[in-house]
Amino acid sequence: MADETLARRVPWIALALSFFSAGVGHIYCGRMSKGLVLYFAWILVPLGMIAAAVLPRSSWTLTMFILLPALTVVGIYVYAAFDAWQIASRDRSGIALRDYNRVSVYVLLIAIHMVYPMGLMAGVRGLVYEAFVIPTASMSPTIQRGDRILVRKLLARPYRPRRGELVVFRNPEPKGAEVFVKRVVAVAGDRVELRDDQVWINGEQLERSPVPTELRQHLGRQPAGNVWQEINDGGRYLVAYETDDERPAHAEAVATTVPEHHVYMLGDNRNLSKDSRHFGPIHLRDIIGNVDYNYWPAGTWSRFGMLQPPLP
Amino acid sequence: MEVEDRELIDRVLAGQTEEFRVLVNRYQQPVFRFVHGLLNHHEDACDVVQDVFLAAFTKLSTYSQARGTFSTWLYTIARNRSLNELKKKGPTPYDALAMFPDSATIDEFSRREFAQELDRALAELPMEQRAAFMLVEIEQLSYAEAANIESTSLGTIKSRIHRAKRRLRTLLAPLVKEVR
Amino acid sequence: MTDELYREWLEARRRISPPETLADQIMQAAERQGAELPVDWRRRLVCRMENSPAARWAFCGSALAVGCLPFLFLAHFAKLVSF
Repeated sequence: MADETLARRVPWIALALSFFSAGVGHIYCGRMSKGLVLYFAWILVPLGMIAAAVLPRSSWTLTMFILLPALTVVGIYVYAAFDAWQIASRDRSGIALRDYNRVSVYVLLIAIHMVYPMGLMAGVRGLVYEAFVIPTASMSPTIQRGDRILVRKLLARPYRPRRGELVVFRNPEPKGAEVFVKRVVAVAGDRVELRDDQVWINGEQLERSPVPTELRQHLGRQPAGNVWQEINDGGRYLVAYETDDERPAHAEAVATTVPEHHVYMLGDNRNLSKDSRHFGPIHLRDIIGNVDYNYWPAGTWSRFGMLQPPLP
Repeated sequence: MEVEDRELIDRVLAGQTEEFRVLVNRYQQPVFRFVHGLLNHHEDACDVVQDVFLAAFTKLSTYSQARGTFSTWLYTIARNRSLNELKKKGPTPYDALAMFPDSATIDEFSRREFAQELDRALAELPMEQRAAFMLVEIEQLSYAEAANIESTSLGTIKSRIHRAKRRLRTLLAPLVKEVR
Repeated sequence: MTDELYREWLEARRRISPPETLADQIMQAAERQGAELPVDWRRRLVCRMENSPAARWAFCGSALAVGCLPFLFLAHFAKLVSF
């Protein structure tokens, strides 16, 4: 004769426990292994993020490894609540109680669950990917005001940025925004010259071509003025030169050499951007990460997806 | 919808004593006929059944369903109490059951006689065989449940029932001839 | 013939019933002893809540609110809500 006790499982208690944290309702109903799987479902989020940071960047990677796990966790939460209710309703005569069928165990699991997903997310935000909302139009047309971007902090060591890369870095000046998102146009040792809305790297003018109006409209809200497709180090990206009368002060010519461990940053909206023309080249240690994805574009979904690497 | 035993037990344990009546109404008949079968005495059976339910009531919090269902637990208590009662009183004289109406056709008479002989044969069975026979043949429990209640193996229960049936047949043999 | 009679006998044995007063006797005896029984406060609480839909809704609702906190943080990390 088995030395175990049978106890009635109350459906609404199973539901409430599952609401507190997915899986605890199942553990209450004696389904330990299933409960634990549901309980630790949150691990999918950081695992997916790490996989996405390691895998080649693509819209598919973004969808499958970042967006899908987040939605899955939500789905699992709903499913767990429904299933716990079902199990408790089905086993009306009761279940064999186990050592873990104690109020203290449920309370402990719930308490841990209040902390661990947030810990995981904080860890991911600090080390793997961090999301930002763009408050300005300084990177238009590539990134526009209101876009939500994902910045990869997991960078190759030693980090050697390439020309054309989008990066987020700390503001070297004490006032203003804490971080900026800009494009690396020149790396250590490069000679940068800016004049007449043109960029010269090491004495060579960057190749550029006008962008058809249809394509610009496709990208949503657009800056007034000339939009070019610039080619830098083999990568193509769009830049804009606003042509209104209020030209910022930095329209004057620049000629400088980028020092060791530094990069030269420009905003894609060249005439409306505060960048290395203001505060000089940026030290590599101030770089927070690489801008990989625009996961929630403002206005139009046509800009959804990959931001890096630039099109060849 | 019928409320499950476990839920009723929880309610009783939570202080809703009146809910115990539902359990009593649900199980008094099977428990009574089982005890009656063992004791062959109407008043004694009433007393023992009351004892059984009272014991179940006071020990409800210790009830673990280790023996399966609530009814199995009740049968176990009933079996033990009946055994105690038999030990206390010694063998009771056979108390004929008045369960057939007095319709005095010859056919009815032989049926009644046959049933009475079976009752007598059952009462004369050894206690263990009688209990096993009652549980499986009258109460229609499974061998496993009966084994559980009797705290014995499945094989023992099977052999007890086999022997009980054979003995009933032997005891009835003269009568069967007569009826034919 | 005998098989049929045997089955009839089994059925008759199954029809044996206790007197109708037995349940009342049992309940009277039980109620006399009922006062002495220890009461499990946790079971009592669950039973009270089972009889009160409002309490159940409140309990499940607050569980849902607490359980959704991690999702609120997820939305916060995804810059969908700010606080």
